[in-house]
Amino acid sequence: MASNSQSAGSTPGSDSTIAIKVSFELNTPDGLRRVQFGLEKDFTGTDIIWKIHFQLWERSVRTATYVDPIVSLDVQVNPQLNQRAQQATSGLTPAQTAHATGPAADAAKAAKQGELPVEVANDQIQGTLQQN
Amino acid sequence: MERLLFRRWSGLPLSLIAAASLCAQTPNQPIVAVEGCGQGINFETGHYQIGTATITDPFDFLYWIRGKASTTQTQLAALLNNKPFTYQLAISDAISLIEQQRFLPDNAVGFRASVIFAAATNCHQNPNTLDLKYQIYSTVPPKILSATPESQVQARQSPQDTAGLTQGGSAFHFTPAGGYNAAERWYGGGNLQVTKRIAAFPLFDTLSAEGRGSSTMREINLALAGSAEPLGPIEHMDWRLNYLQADNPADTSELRRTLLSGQYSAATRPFAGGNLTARFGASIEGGNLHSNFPTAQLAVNTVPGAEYGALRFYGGLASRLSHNVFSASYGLELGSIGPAQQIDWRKHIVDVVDDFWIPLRPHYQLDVDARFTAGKIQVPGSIPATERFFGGNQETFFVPGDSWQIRASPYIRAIPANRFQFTSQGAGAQSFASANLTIAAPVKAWPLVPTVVEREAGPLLDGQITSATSVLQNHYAMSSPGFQQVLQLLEPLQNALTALRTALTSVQADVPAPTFTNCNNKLLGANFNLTMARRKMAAPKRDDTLYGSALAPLSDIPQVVTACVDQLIPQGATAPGFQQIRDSVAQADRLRGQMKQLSDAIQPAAAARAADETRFVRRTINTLLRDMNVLSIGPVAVFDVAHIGPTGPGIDGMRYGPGGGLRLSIASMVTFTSGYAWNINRQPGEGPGAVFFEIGIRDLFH
Repeated sequence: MASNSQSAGSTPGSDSTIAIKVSFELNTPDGLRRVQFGLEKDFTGTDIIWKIHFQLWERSVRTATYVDPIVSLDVQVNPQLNQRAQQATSGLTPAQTAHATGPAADAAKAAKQGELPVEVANDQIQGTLQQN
Repeated sequence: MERLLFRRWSGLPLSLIAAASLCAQTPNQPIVAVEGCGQGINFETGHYQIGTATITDPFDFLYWIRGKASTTQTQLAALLNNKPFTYQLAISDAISLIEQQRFLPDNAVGFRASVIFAAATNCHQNPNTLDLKYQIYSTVPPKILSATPESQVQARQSPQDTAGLTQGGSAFHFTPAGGYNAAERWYGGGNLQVTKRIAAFPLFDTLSAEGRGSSTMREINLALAGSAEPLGPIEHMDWRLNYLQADNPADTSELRRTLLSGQYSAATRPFAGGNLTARFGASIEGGNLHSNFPTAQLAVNTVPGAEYGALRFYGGLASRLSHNVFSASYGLELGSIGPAQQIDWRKHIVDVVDDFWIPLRPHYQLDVDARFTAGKIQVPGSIPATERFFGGNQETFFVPGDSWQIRASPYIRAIPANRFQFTSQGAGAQSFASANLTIAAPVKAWPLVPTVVEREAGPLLDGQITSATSVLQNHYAMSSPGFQQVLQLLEPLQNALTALRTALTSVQADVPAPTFTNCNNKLLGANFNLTMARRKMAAPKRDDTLYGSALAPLSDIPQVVTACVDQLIPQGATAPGFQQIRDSVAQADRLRGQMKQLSDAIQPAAAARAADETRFVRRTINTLLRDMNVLSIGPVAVFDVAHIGPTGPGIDGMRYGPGGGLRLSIASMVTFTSGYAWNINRQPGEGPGAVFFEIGIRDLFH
C-alpha cells in the first residue's frame, strides 16, 4: 500500500521501532493468583515512555479457570524509573516478583474496591520496579 | 514454503532496529527527519498515513497460530489501514487487539513469555506514508522432563511442543505415519490423540489410538493417560492404561501379543546442582503371548505361547547440559505363565543414551546420537518365545508411551525387523548388547528463529525464565524456618506505624499540606501492606502472596523515613509531636533492619534451589532459539554393532552395520529419513543389508 504511494525520487529507508512490549506472567506456585506485569517501551518521536500494564487474576481453587482479570491497570512509569524499567525487561528479581504478586496486586484490588486511594495503588505498582 | 521463508527473513530489519532500540537505552536525542523510517521521527506530528499493517509469529506454521494471526491481521487492517497515524492507534489499540487473541495457550501454571515488537516500515514522504509491522515471540516451555533425550527429540522434530504451543490448538491430534522395511514391507498408520480433561473423569486427560499395518504385520494400541505436576519433591508423574494387540513377523514365524497394562512413572525435581533428574516407575500387565515357532526351534525352557502376567520396575537418571542430553535407565521384568506368585523369568534391561550436538555455525550443528542397550533373561521356569529378544531395524520399548523410552531389544539397522534372533539355543536371544551411532549434519537449514531475532528476543524471553525462577525462589524462601521469624516482626512494626500516625496527626497543622499528604500516602501504603500480611498470616491456609506482603516493609519503611522525617520535619523542629515522629520512625527502621538480616539469611538456599529447578528449562529454550530449524536437509551416517547370545559352534552372534542416508525435516510437517545399512558379518540366511525408510508426518490438526 505505502509503496504504491511512494513519490518519485523517494527511496525506502530502514524500519523504526515504535514499541516493544515484554509481558511477564507470574503464576504463584499455589496456582491461585496470576499477575501479568507488562513493560512497554514506546518511542514517540524522540521521547521514550515506559508503561506498566498490570493485570490480576484470582481463583479459589487450582482446578477453576481464570476468566477475566479482576484488576487491569495501566501506569505510566515515572521517568526517574526508566533505567529500572529497562533492567526489568531482562527479568524480574525475587523482590520484584514478590512485590508484584503481593503488595502491588493487593493494592490494585483494594483501589478498585475503593479501599485505598488510586495514587497509593499506582505507587505500589510502580514500586515493583524500585525493588532490588 | 516460499511464504514461510519470506517471513523468516522479513523480520531481520525490524530486529536490527529493535536491537538498537531496546538494548541501547537511547536517550532523548534530536533526530533529523529523513526519507525512510529513521529512529526519532514523530510520525503523528508528521501527519503520516498508515498503509498496511502486518503481523508475524515464528510459529505461524502451526494451524492454530496461523488462524489467530490471520484473524488478527484482518482486525488490524480494519483498525489501521489507510488511517492517519497516531501512537494511540498504532501502539495501544493495536497491541491490545493482538493480546486479546492470546497467542499462548492458557495453561494457568508454569512459565509464559511474550514479546511484541511494533515497527514502522516503508516510510515515504510527500505524501507521508508508512506501513506497520508487528512481530510476536511467545513460549510456554513445559517445565517437566526437559532433561531427557525424549525431550530433545521432541524439540528437534516438533519445536512447537517444546515451546508449549501445541496445547493451544485443537484437542484432537492426528499424526499419520508410514515407512518400509524388508520384514514389515510398506506400512502405514497413524496416531489419533484426544487431549481433554473431563471434569467428571479427572484421572485421565489423554485418549490415544495408534495403529500400524502392512501385508505382514498389524499393531493396535489404545491408551488412556493422565499426569500431574505436584509441588513436592516429585515434579511430574503420569499414569497410563494400555491395550496392545500386535502381530509382527519374525523371520519364518510371527510374534503375537495381546495385553492389558497399567503403569505409573514419576520424575523428581532436578538435584545435584540442577544437573540431574531421577525417574522411576512400575507397571503390571497380563495377556497372551504367542508365536508359531515349532517347539524344535526353541530353547528347552521356552514355549511357543502362553497366557502370562508380568511386573515391571524401572528407574534411571537423566541430565541436560548446554549441548548434551544424557540418560541411563534400568528395567526389571518379573514374568509368570503359571500361578501369580511364581516367577518364571526375570528380564534385565540397561539402556544408556547420550545425544550431543556440536554447533558448526548458528543453526548448523553436527548431531551425534549414541546409544548402548543390553539385556539378559534368567529363566528359572518357562518363558514364551515372544518375550525373548528379537532384534533388527525396528525399535521396541520396555514400557509403552513416548515420555520415557527404554529400548528393550537389539537394534541394528542392517537387518530387517525381528530377524536378528537365531542363537545356539534356537529362536530368540537370551542376552544381547547393541551400540548405535547416528551422525547427522544439515547442509541447508532454515532456522526457526532467525539468528538476528534470537539475539534480541532471546534475552527478553530468557527474562521470563528469570522471573519464573524468582517466583520459585520466593516460594522456597517462604517455606524456610527463618521466614517465621520475619513474620514475628510484623506486629511490632505495625505498632510503630500506628504510633507514627498518632504523632503525625498532632503536627498536621504545622506542615505544608502536600508534604503531609505525601507522608500520609507512604504511611497508608506501608500500613496497608502490613495489614494484608497479618491477615494472610492468620488465614487457615497461607497463600504464596504472604511472602511479598510480609517483606514489603523492606522497601516501604525507607520511603516513610524520607517522606515523614527528611521531607516533613522542619529543620530544628523540637515540638513533642516531631520528636514522636522521629522516635516511631526510628523504631520502625530498627525492626526493618532486623527483617533485612533475616531475609538475607534465607535467600541463598532458596535461590540455589530455584535455579536448580529451572536450569533444564533455560537450556531447553536456548536450544529452541539457537539450534532448532523449521526446515533442514542433510546426510546421515550410521554405525551399529550388536551381539546376541548364547552363541555356539557355527553361530556367530556379532553383527556390524555401517550405513548412510538422507534426512529431510520440516518442523511440524514431516520428517523423512532414508538410507541403507550393510550387514558386514552376515550369517547364512541373512541379506547383505537393509534399507531403512521412514516418513513421519506431523499432527494434521495443527
